[in-house]
Amino acid sequence: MNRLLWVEDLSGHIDTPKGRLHILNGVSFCVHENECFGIIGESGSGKTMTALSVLRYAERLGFQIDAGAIVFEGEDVLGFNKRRLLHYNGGRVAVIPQDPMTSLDPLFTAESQLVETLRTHKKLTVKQAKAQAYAIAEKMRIAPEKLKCYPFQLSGGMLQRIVGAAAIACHPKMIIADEPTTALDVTVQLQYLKLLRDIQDEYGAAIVFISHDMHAVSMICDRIAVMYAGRIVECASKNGLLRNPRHPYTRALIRSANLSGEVRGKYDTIDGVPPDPLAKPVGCSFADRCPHSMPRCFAETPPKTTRDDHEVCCWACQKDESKT
Amino acid sequence: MKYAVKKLVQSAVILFFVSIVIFLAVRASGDPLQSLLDPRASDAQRAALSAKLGLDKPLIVQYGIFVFDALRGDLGNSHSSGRPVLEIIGEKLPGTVVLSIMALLIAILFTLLLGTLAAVKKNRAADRIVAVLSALGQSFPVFFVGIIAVQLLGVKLRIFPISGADTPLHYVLPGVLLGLCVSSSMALVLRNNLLAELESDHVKFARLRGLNERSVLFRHALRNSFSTVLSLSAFIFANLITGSIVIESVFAWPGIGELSYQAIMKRDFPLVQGIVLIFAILIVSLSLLTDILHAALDPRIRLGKEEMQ
Repeated sequence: MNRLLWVEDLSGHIDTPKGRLHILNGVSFCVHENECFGIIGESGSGKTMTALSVLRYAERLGFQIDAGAIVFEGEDVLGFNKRRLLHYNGGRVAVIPQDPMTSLDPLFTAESQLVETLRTHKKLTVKQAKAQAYAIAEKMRIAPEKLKCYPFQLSGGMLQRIVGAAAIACHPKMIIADEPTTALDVTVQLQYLKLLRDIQDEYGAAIVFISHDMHAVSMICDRIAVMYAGRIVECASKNGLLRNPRHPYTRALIRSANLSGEVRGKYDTIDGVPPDPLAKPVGCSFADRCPHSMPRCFAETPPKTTRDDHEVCCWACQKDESKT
Repeated sequence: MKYAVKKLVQSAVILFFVSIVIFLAVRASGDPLQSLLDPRASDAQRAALSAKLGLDKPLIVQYGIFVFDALRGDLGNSHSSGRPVLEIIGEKLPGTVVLSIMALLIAILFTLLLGTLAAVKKNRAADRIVAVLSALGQSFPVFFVGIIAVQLLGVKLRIFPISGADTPLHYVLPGVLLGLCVSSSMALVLRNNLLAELESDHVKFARLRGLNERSVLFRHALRNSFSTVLSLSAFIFANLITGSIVIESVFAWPGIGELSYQAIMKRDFPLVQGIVLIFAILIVSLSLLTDILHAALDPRIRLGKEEMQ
């Protein structure tokens, strides 16, 4: 499979009045063409900032990249000029936003916003763009009359399909879906995930699915990366990760998600809290919550080790391997 | 359409209440006979004048006459000059209204320019300059700036004529001054609104859809914040009209401000009632106009909340 997006050792911070927030501390991953890649982690782990960095939107929020590279289809994304960037956003990489209710301009109909997106990236007359908008709407199972509505006249599920339609309108190579189902109720969530999967098959776009919901991620993703305190601590195929989680954090996460659905007296939680992003990270950031931590974990950042396409950053895992 | 009718009925109701308040307030201001008659006039003379002016009738009857005449387009005759009130107002009103409209348009223009500039250049030199100008504009009263401008540009440099409203050039100085003073507060409101709008989810999504900065700013962000400027405009126009007394005295402007002052001093009931009623009609129609513009601009108002899901 061809590598579509490649992020290497991405680190960055935001300066706030309270001090410097170390948000990303060496994020590395790659997304292959036409796959669904999941990034899972708790709030504050840096998933959204990773996505926004890939989109080059993070800099608008005061995020400064200290090191690292982002390569999309062999091109250096961080080196894009303004014009390239306008086409890259929406034309090559599209976004399905977190909150569909507020992500469309309240003063324009759904149709006019779809047409606007199409005409930004393709040379189309208004008439052609409208025809395409209706064709895409049909794919997203949006009734034609709904396109004539203003955002405030539509339900959350419908709006989510419309922002989805806006995302796929220009046939991007990659769609970043940042918690696209958080604002929806559970039944609509499942429908939407299925719809996303269908669209992906048809359009041949890769999906980067960002979520804190282990159920949703395990339902649609081919590969999953687990993020913790601004790093990807483990990355593997869905089955590899769920059946054979190696990083202690991943194991704890899967345990607390209770994927098997067995009835138990209590939910498993992970003791402790994530590290303060104000402190510059030293060693493994999970060390003080980890049941297997060793002195080395507090002093040195564990490097990435790969076995059968299963990547993990953990000193304890390395020790286990050297034993076997 | 339904919306326009609803607003029209609301306006009529407002005008009805205004008419009551005007009528009572004017009568609470004192006895007009005192200023019309010699202090030594006899009781018979007083009664005769009172009857002639219709002041001897019960209040409710006087009010009825006032309303019915007004509905027929007759605001009565001035007590002091005897001429029809509408005729007197007709002479003085256009000067004031034209000046106010001009000031308002200038204010909106400057607001859009300065407010947008400040928001786009947030925390940079241009933004700071706009902030300082606004503070200055708000802290100096219009009449003070007016007097200085008249002295400097009119008397010393003789660039602009300083009194009267005879030529278009006469409108420049008071119009621009008023407009600038008004826009100083409006520009800051627009700036803050626009900044909030630029950070909103829909602007973020517009950017992530790859829209260029011009579309993002003008089509999406500015249009969403313009409704605030529109609401303020109605309020400011009302202030311009009713505050015209001060401006008109600085620029010796032949307007309604001067007329109102005279009418109140003489307790000329029909004239005061007429002026205030005309003010009320002007302001109510303007707010009606802004409501309709709002609706044209914002589908949420146009289509009503009942369709919300």
